[in-house]
Amino acid sequence: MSSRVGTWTLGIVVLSLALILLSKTGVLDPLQSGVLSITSPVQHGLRNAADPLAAWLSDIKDVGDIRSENDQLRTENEQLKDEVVRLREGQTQLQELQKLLQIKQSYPDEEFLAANVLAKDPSSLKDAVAIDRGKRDGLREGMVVVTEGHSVVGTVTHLFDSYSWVTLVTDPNSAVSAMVQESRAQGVVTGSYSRKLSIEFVAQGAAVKDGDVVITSAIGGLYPAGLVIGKVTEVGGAAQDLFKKVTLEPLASLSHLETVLVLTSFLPTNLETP
Amino acid sequence: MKYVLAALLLMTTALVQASFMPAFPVFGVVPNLVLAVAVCWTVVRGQQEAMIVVPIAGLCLGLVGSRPLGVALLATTPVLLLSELRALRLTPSDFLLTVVIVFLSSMLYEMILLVALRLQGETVGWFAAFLRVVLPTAIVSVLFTPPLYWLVWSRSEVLRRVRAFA
Repeated sequence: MSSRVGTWTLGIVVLSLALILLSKTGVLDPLQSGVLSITSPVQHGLRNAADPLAAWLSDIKDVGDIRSENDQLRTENEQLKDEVVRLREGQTQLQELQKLLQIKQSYPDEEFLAANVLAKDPSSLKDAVAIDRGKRDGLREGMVVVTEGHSVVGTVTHLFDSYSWVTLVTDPNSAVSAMVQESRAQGVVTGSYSRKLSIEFVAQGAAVKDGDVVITSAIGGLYPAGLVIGKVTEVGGAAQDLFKKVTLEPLASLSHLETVLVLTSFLPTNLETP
Repeated sequence: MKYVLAALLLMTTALVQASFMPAFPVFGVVPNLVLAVAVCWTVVRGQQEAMIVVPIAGLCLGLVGSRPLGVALLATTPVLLLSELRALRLTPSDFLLTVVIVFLSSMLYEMILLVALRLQGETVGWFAAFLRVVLPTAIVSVLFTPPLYWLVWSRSEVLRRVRAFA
């Protein structure tokens, strides 16, 4: 190796380390935020161009499955309509009982802030998206982000003045306290490098089956209870294992997010003012 | 002029990588197009230009990513060292050399990012990350190299003609 290349490389390494340190202090935030701001229309345009093309390619690939899936969805729709009617009836009764007993609801005034997804982290090692809301809009680190259908997307992890990065629930470092809605079995939903979700620490004896809905459990105080995370797709593991191996798929299409909602009325426990 | 062109090309590629490519994952990963362009530029245009273009590539990746700005810059530095392979004339063609350097530098890039994530306090599953991300990204980046190599080579020819005309 020539000494010129060696010296230059060493210089770049030193510059990199200096930039990392400066980034940590927040000095470079305006630069990164400015670039996101300038490039956001281009990124938005590219995303808009990619989505229909990706959907078309996916349709071609899945054309064989669509018909059977359609039949299945029709049956499921009928069942759900029936369930909605029964739930409405139950809700009315519950509200009447709550009035009588004067029970305070857990989250009576949930407040959301809508945000557009601008970009995705270019590396496959991180699953994070940038949104067009930041410190100026009252966002704080740890705030929970959901889809328009109120299923979990992730949490705000890095804030700029008018933008922020949201680490998705499918990120390998994500961990959410959760429970299976039907059996109330507790566990922790974790992401992975393959962008699949799994629920860890589910007791071997717990009743969990395909199609069960997994929701947040509020244990740990980082998420409010009752937000939908996903649906169980596979239950495995040997009988002698301590815990079941449960995989799920997110209910929200996390790879094609356009608009998300930041839950501003819920602050993680470690952020709450005394 | 040539560095402005390189910066524009790399920033455009970074935006495509961050906004367009995630809709089309191959083997579950997105190719590192910016790194591939930087390597193509290094092989086609030589080491002297690489010493400027490769850091620009690192900065572009850092500016559109979620990690501290210098991490991607640090992760692209192996390209500068690997560019020494060009002088050794190990392969019969420049294109083959490009493919080899893209593969190696992509692996090193992702490994450096993993180390950075670990140093930032994140949990890293080394084996899973290698199998699911590091290796597939290197392979997919190689698959995307031919059109990028052609793009850089053809722009390089234009630059040569402009210089000859001037």
